Amino acid sequence: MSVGWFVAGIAVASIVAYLISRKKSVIAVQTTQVAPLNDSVKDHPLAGAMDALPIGVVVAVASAEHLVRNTIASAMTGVRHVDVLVDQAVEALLAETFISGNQERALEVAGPPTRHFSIRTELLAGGDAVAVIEDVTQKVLIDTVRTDFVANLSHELKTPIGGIAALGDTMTNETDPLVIQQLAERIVKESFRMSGIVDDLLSLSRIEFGKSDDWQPVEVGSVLREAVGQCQHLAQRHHVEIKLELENGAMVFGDRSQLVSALSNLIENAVKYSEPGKLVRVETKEDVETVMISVSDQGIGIAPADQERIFERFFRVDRARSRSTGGTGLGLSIVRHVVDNHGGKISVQSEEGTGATFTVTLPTTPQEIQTNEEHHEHAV
Amino acid sequence: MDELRKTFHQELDAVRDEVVRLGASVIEAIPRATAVLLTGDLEGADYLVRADDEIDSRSIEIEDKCFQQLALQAPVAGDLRQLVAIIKISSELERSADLCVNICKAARRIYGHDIDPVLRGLISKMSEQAQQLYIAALDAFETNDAPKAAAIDDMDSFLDGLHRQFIQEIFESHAREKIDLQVAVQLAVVARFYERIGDHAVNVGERTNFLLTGWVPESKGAARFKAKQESSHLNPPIETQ
Repeated sequence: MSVGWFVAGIAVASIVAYLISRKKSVIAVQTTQVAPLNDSVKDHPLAGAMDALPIGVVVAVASAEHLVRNTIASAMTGVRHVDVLVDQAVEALLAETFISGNQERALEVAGPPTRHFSIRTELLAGGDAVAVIEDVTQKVLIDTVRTDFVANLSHELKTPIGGIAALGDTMTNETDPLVIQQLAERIVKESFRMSGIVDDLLSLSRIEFGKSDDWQPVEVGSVLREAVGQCQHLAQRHHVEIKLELENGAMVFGDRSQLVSALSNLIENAVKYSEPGKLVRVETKEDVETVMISVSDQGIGIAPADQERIFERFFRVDRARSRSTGGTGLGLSIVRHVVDNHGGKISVQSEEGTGATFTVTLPTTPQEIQTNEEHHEHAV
Repeated sequence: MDELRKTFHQELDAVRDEVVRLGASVIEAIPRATAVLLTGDLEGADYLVRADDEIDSRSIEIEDKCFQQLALQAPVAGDLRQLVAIIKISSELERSADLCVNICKAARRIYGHDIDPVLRGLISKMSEQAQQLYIAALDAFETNDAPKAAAIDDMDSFLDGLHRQFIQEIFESHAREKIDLQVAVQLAVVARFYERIGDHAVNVGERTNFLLTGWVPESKGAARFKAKQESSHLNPPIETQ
């Protein structure tokens, strides 16, 4: 048992002892079967401590047949279906505790958004019982991200290595020069794929490390023109049109190459997930302190559940499709880190089947800061 | 007598709480069934199909309690309306949970088939809308909010629109040979299930409005019919040879 639980346990036991000692007056105060803790024992210092706990605590006073809750637990007695389901599970578990002792249950509520709760109950001296409710949504999410990362990393790295080994093995027994040529070409292709993953991993770790030395005032328009230029070839191959609409000349302070790489990543994705004949729009919108860059496509879109996870490393919405679209699975993770490094935000709005819009918001630098090129011209 | 009435109202409150809890289970079942359909989660489908037995049992329990109170307490006016409305609401909830099970069964039938992204998007929207209707209906029931209960019918027109759009999209997808006939038929039926869940939510709203005001939308038509009957009785049609 952790120290936190131990302290909570002592606090709960003391509160219950206090409640038992004042049982008559407590029952007199109760007008319903359920009451917030503060209403019944607000003059006791431990009541405040219970309310300060970041977890829900429900005490089932068996002899009086009623429940006493701290603030967090009281907030869970609302009409929202999540609250109703948690409340129902707590009551069922407490009832079970009186029959068969301490209980523990993980509860998942679909929402949306999906939420996870951990409910533990314990029988107390004196025949009462306590339930401790913890919202473990973040914890479960972090665990899922970690587990998926290891699985995906091993998948992304092992697949090309397995491929290279199998191709090499076939080559050693092959005598036909044409077949050997084909096998060698595939080995080269798989090697490039691995090299791409390693390059992306290295640049991701560089970006995560923080600011580089190349920070300077950068004009957003020129960054976008370069990023669009890098994707034109791919767009022509996919028969997708990229439309660039720029507003004035907003400046941001940052690493130009990182920004170009991040935005070209977004535009490349938009092109790759669009069908031939569709349009990708790249637009900017300026505010007093920020510039918003949006990249919209009319492609397959992203399901709401996946929207929360697409910025994770190696996360693939559809692993089966990832082979045909290519990429390393690190693109959006790189984009997020670049945007974070520049003090900005990234968001996505999408519905499956109607396309997606990625919006990057970056803080602008004051207009008086000039680019290096302009400064150079003045000096000349 | 006072004491007896108090016990009756406590029983009534307990039954109302049970309805809210049953409603929460239905609100939860809608996105779960949708996730089963969109991800082809067969395990999740089994879970929801099995969980429906509990919903059936709770619904029967609610009805039994209502019948017991009707028999023992002979309630009148608002109390009577409460019990009658709850019996109806309980069956609406039970039927909606059945429709969620039907969505899971359809998911089993089309397992392994890809669903076009446009259709997936529309399924997500229909599910969200059906859930919103139920959230509003049960909120109105829990908080005795008659205007909100009456507004749910209007909210349903959005879901009906999505249903029409979905059917149109199925035809178009089929014409573009992007969807198998078997999958198309199953998805059309699934869309109908969402639309029906919405209709049941509307019924819950109407019954909530009834228990608060004594009025149901059918009252209008019924009054019209009665007026017509009375006028024809006063002026019988002239028989011609």
